[in-house]
Amino acid sequence: MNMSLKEKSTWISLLATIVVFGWYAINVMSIDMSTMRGEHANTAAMGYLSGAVLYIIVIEILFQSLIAVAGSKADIEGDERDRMIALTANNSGYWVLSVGVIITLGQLLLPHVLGIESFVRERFPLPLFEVHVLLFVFIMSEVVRFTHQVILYRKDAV
Amino acid sequence: MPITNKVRECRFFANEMTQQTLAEAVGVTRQTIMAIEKNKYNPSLEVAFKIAKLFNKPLEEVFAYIDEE
Repeated sequence: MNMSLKEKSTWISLLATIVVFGWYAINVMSIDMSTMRGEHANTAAMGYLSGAVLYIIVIEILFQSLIAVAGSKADIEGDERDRMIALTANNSGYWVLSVGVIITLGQLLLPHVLGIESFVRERFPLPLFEVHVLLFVFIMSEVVRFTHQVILYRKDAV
Repeated sequence: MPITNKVRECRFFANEMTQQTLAEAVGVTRQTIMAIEKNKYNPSLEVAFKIAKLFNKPLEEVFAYIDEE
């Protein structure tokens, strides 16, 4: 496959985000809130989150360095097409992030206004629920951004 | 796209210049030259002028705007 250095870099970021935060989501969702006390569940979730952040940093540094070694300075910096693709994809990611933040605000306020907080917590028994909703929104926006970038590279168009 | 180009043809008549050589000369990646040649990407004016200058041709001889109306 004929890929520029920037496209390879985008693929690595996309796959790393999906794999690492997929692993994190599986682990957090498997925390049994009925047997684990709230404080312990929060500590376990924070442990997984720290692990995920550490993994993503290590993977990104390692793989991005490996592909950068093979490229020239111009390849690493990218050109006008790379920048235009990045900007277009950023718009998509930002749109998802904005909608997600509005939904999160609604989710934080509405159950309180409607008086159904306990119902929501029973239906979604996640430790640090609000943090995870925001984290999910952020990860989704990143995945959309990287995916859109990859699609634009593959289509050879902006 | 309403803008077409003769970059591939110009390269051919410039001693079969490679895409990589052209890319390095005008400061873009080889993939961008490929996209330009396939009419999938319209370069900026700066890059278009650089390409035309490299082949010693006026801009409108390398790039053309086709009015689709």
